[in-house]
Formats: sequence, structure tokens, C-alpha cells
Amino acid sequence: MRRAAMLSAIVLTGAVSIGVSAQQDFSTVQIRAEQVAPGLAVLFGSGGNIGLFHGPDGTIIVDDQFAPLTEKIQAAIAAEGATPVKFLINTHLHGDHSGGNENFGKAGATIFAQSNVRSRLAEGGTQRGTVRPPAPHAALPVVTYDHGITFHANGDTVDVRYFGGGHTDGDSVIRWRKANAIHTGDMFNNSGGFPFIDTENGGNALRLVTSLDQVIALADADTVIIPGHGPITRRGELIAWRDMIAASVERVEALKKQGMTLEQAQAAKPVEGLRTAADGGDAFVAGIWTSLAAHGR
Amino acid sequence: MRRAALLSGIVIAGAVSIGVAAQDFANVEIRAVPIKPGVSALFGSGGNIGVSHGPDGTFIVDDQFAPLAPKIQAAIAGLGASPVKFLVNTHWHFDHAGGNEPFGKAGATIIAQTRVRDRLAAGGTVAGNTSPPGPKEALPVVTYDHSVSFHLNGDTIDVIHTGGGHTDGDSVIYWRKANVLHTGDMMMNRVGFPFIDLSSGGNVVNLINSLDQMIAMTDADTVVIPGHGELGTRADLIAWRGMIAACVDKVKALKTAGQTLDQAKAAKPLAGMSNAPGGFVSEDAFVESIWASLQARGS
Repeated sequence: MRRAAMLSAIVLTGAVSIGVSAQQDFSTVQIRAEQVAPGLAVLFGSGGNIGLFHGPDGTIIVDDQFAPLTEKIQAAIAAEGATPVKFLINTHLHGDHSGGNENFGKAGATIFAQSNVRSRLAEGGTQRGTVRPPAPHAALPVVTYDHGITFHANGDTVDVRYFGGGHTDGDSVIRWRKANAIHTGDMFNNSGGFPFIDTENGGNALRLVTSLDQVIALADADTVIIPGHGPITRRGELIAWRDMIAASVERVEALKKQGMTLEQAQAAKPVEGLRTAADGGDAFVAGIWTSLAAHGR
Repeated sequence: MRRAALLSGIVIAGAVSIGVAAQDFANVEIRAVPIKPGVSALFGSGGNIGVSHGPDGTFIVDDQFAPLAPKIQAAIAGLGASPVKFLVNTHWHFDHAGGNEPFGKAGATIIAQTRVRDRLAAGGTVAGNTSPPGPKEALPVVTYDHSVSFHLNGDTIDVIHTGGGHTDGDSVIYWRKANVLHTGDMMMNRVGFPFIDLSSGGNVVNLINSLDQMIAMTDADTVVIPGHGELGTRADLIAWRGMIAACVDKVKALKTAGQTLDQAKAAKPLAGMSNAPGGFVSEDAFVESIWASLQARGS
């Protein structure tokens, strides 16, 4: 029973990630808040986990899920005692993390993101072959950075850092120095499956490993890790995730060096058993394959 | 008459720069100079202010002195602009960031390079003028080490720390579409030698490096808003950089020849080099700051 529920959750997450938002029914989605530290909470709903940071200097959120959920998210924010959102940070461009941008932008939030996030949102593109139209003006980040910025608010110092991406080419990590918490964006997906390497949007498994090394270096045993999806956890799980990806890269690269084609490598199921996935990890193997090729390997 | 007015302007700039605390702001008028549609410069007392305004909100660069905030706000409204949403400090000096508290309290989000916030929070003394630790509302809320860009009012506005020189936290602001560059105090237009604030991490060698990067960002059509002085061009920026580099070369030659600082000053190596004789930084003071900059670089 427990296993069935978990698999169901994985399938749901998968559906969200590939962006079938048009068909998805958001009417039954509930936003649940879990406090991490005074003034810092995580909102779980449908789509990427939202970091909510509030206090006398205003409300800052990390990611905003899907547009149809904005009102529920705003209600959940108010229920935490927070004022309307002043600053909104996108960890990356995907619609399950930035889908609410237009609504929050129109409501007065200033949107921040890494430079590549804005470029991709503004230009549109594809994701898993599905066309992603250009985002409207109000949905676009107003302040962008190549490397990082830091917020000084609500008694904490909040670092927003780009380590080179991996899930896409615009992933930011958010770290609360005093609260000792890190929002990883989708560079860490703690919902049971393999990572999605969005090679159509600059993602790369090798860079994901090096970015994760930098995230791990910021954390200690007490750091609260807020993943892009799935439950809050600690550094140990993040390290295990990083090691799983590094091991997968090694296995796939070994097959590639043997002269296999991608199809042959997928058929060999090199990552099977490392995580649970309906496709046995085929998409992940393909993501690694493309990543290796991008590095001339 | 024209020359007298110019000199008077220099003297005022000098007085501002060295921070005469008893300065009377009652007579200061804020003069707005439109540069491009939605981009203007405001001249008053203290550092020149850059303004971007339009449908996405008002963005300003620097804010002079706190007592001038109401006049500056009136001048911004006079441009047809909404109240300030974003305020960038080019550096931490009181004649550029002195209005942070009133603008912060009025709702502006203040953005600056990391060391600007550190210095504003700690307070300090610049050319004999002591600034106490800044109150919370005067401190930048968003900081960066390298750069940020604002996408506003149909333009992209890059805010870049090129490595400093006047201090260790100087940013330059470049409007890509309007082709306007605000240099902060890394350029002062025809008001004499540069002020190198060594106590705030300034260094003339870094200043030259930063100016090289600014020159590379500009073309013949770029409008340059200097930290002090009137609007300029790329040619002014190149001439300013050339003057500074020539001064450094002259002082460096004496230092390399084994002279002491006193001997170097006595040799008057910078005689005739200033673009505005009588400016706030004397020949001797500039020799000293070049000397200290070279020492700090181990040369």
C-alpha cells in the first residue's frame, strides 16, 4: 500500500514535470505549509517546492508552481502571517516552478533569476519536444544575474548562487545563512526518480555533479535541504543523490567507450536499480549520453 | 564670467567631495537634463544622479544627500516618473548614498556591490568626513559581487563591478539601448585629478583597469554621466584615463629611480597635468595616492 502510494506520487511528479498543465486539474490541489525555521517555511502543492521567507522586511519566495495555483499559494502565504510577495526568485525556467510568474509579477512582486532563465522564458523553446511559447512581459524576471546575488532581509542573509547549472543552464541555489537551510531547485529531486537532465535547455549531467559538489560544500549535518520536489531532508540524502548521478555517468560512459550506440546502452539498463523509474532510466541514460557528447566524451 | 562660474562649480564640487558638514542645502536646486527618452541625469549637490523611468517603474543611480531627498523626489516627479522603485549606489560615499535612508523608507529597493553594503553598515571616515554606521533603511537589501542587470522600460541596464578603483566597491551602470554610461566617481569630468579613497580600498591601478573596461563598453555615440561634472563623451573618458595613466607613469618613474615620497612630491611631477587646475585633489595629494596605490600593489 505504501509502495503503491509512493509510485503514484512518482507518476504524478512525472506528469507535472513534463508539463501537462493544460490537462491537469488543479482544483483539488491543496497547499500545505511546513515550517523550517522562524520565518522560513516550505509550501508543498503541485509542482516545485516553494520556499517562503517572511518577516518585517517583506516576503521573499522561491518558485511559484503553476498559474492556476497562485490564489491558493497567496492564501497559504497570508495564513503564515506573511505580507504579499515582494521578491520572487525562480530557481529555473520550468513551468512547474515559474508558472505563477505572471500572476505574482502583476501583483507587484519583483522577479529575480539567473540570466539564462530570463532569456529562455522570453524567447520560448521546447521541453521534451513540447513547444514552450515565449512568456508574457509580466512573467519575465526584472533583475537578473550571471553569478549570484544576496538578499539582506528579515534578520538573515540569503545567498542566491548559480554554480553552472546541470538540470538546465540557469539553476540557482538559495541558501539562508542564519536559518541554515538550502533550496536546491531541481538539481535535487527528492521524490524517488532519476534526475531530469533538460538538454534542450542547457542541462548537463556532468555540470550537475559539479554544481552539487558546491551545494554540498555549503551544507553541514544540520542544514535543512529543501529539494525541488519531494520532502525536506538533510545533507546525507543530497550526497547520496550526487553519488548516484556520478556513478550513473561512469556506467554510461563505460558503455559509450565500448563503442555502443545510445540504444544499445539503454538496452543494457546501466542505471537500473539505482532509482525507481517507469522507463528503467532510459531518459536519464539519454541525458547523460548527450551530456558526455557536449563535453567531447 | 563663464570661467568664474565654472570655477565656482569646481569649488562647490570640492566642498561637497570633502564633505563640509555644515553645508547649506537650502539653496541647492536640482537640474534635470533629459538624455534619451526615459533616461535623464539630475544635477544638484553631490554625485550626479541617473534616472530611468517608464511603464515598469523608476530606477535611479545614486541619491546625493539626505536633506535633498524631497527636492530630488520632486525633480523625478517633474520628469513624469513614478516614485523610485530601484536605487543603485555606485559606491558608499555620503555624497552618493546620503539619501539612502529617505529613499529606502519611501519604498525603494536599494541595490549595491557587496562591499558598499559592508562599508555603509560599518561607517567610516572619508577625507575627514565621518559617516556613522548606516541605519537599516539606508542599507542595500540586494547585493552582488560581480553584476546584476535590470530589464526595465524597454531597456537592459547592466550594473557592473569592474574591480573598483575610486573605492573597492564601485559599480558602473550601462543602458544598452539608450547607450548611456554612468561611471560613478571612477570618472569626474573636468574637475581635476581623481580622488583615490585608499581607506575604502581605492587604488589608481584598479581605476585604470576599470576605465579600460568602461571604454570598451562605449562608442562615439555613448552619453557619459560622470560622478561629478557635466555630461561627457567617450572621448572625455579616454582623455581622463590617459591623464591618470600619464600621472601614474611619472610618479612610478620617480619611485623606480629610488626617490622617497617627499622627494617625488618636491619634484612636482604632475605640474600642468590636471584638466582643471585648482580642483579638489591637489597635485601632492594625487602623488601620494598614486604612491600608496603602487605600494599596495607591491610596485
